Amino acid sequence: MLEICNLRKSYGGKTVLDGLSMTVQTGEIYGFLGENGAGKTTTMNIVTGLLAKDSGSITVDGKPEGDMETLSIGYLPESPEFFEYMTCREYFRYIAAACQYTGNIEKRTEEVIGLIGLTPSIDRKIKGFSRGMKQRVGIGCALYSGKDLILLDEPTSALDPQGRADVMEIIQRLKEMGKTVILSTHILSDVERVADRVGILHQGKLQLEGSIQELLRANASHVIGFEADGLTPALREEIAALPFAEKVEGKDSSCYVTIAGDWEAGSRGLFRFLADSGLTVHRYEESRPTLEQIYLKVVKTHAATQSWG
Amino acid sequence: MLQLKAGVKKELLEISRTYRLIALILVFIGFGVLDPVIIRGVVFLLDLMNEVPELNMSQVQGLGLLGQSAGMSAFVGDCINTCLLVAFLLLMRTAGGEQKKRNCIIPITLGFDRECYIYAKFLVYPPLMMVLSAAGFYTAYGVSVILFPDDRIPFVNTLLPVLALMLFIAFQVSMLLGFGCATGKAGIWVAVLYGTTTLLNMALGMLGKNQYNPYALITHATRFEEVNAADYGVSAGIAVAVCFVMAVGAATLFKRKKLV
Repeated sequence: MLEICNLRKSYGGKTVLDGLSMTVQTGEIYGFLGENGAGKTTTMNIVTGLLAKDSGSITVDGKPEGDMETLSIGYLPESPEFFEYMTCREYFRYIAAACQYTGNIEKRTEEVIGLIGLTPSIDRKIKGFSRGMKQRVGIGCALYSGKDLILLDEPTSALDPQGRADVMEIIQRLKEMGKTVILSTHILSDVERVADRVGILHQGKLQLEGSIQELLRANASHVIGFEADGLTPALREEIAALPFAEKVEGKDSSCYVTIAGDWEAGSRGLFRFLADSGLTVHRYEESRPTLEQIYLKVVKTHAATQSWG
Repeated sequence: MLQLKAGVKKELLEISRTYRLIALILVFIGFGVLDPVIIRGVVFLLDLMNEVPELNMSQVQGLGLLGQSAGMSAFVGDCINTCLLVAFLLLMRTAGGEQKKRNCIIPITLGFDRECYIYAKFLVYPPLMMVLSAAGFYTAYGVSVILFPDDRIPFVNTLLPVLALMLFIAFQVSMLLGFGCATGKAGIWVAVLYGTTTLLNMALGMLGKNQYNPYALITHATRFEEVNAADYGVSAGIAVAVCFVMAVGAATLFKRKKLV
């Protein structure tokens, strides 16, 4: 759906994008991660044609970027601003003109407003809307013309928990509708909830890309803790010698095993070992790896590489 | 065409829903009522002081200094100074302010034609300001007809002055829209244009060169007797041409303008 190749952009000598390459498949939700100033918004602005690139190429459905009308992109910018003196219905009529919607405008307007859950406020002025409601209006705009690729730049930032939950529900619905969504955010729990794949942008380059499961398996530590009677030092050494055990910690009857690599296979192996050893397990806990751990690891690794280099 | 209509509707909603239209009506009509009343008040005060031997009221009124034309001229002066400044301040948002607030990002990324976005402003604001200035002018005319029944300017003699006023106001508003939209810095242009109007008009007057340019329309707006047809025609023509150049220039520059 979207292919970015070797994209470069500098502002007054400061390199923001330093050869960014990424691919987003049709129908997936792509979590586009990175700290403030990493270049996420710059990338989105270039893809939507608001900003000129220095070099590199972008193709959407095989079409080159440049003329917005030829591309199929809906865009929700960070902190969107609206003509707030308009009612929700009036604003969407204006949006219909913007995207030169050729179908029944009234029907489509009501359909989109229904989809974003603002039907009860359809004839209210946007001025009186909460931030969450405004974000929903912005998402409605991005999907009004039925475009397949939707770029959402920080759609949940500065929203209260309810507002965030509402927006995430709409994104989930977009996925069900088969839309391709690029979700730029630094709220990692949101990405974990909905994204199929993620890319971590750091200092203008994509440092890591893949499905969440793949990244969790490959990059994060998965710790299993348990308490068992009869846990001897010898048994502890046997656990440490297991091929999937990266680290074994704890004392007396408690033990914490850090699983290396495929944590599902590792945890199955550990349970089998415990069962074969005849130990009685009293307590069991599992520390699942998070995207945040991966993210921080990528950022720290890069910072360390830079300081050493 | 659909986008131009939507753009015009958006501008009309903006000016009416944000109470800017009410404010503008109040200012233009307010001065239309107030200026002749103030002139009548001055006449009344002078009448009270009629015993002062140096003052000869009949001479003062005979010079047309305190009659209906004085009331009308006072309105034209206030219209070009105060009303225009108020209008400039109220139009700052549309002439670049909304670009700064990034309100136009969503429609433009969805395909709203940038030229339509600019042309819609030129289709709404200069004509609207022309109507408002004419309304204020004829309010002043109506009030002064009541207040100065013996010193009446024939209605037909007001047609060219009001047109001159309307064209000058449209010229000024177009300049603000043009420069403001093209640069996104409406505040600076309000100061520049307002300052220029006052200073340039004064300088041209002092040099005796206030002819054949849009600023000469200010003088034509207060001339109810004879008209220098050539000066009027050229000045009006230049003002109209500038309005068109501003619209096309702003649309062309806005098309290439960085919005983020």
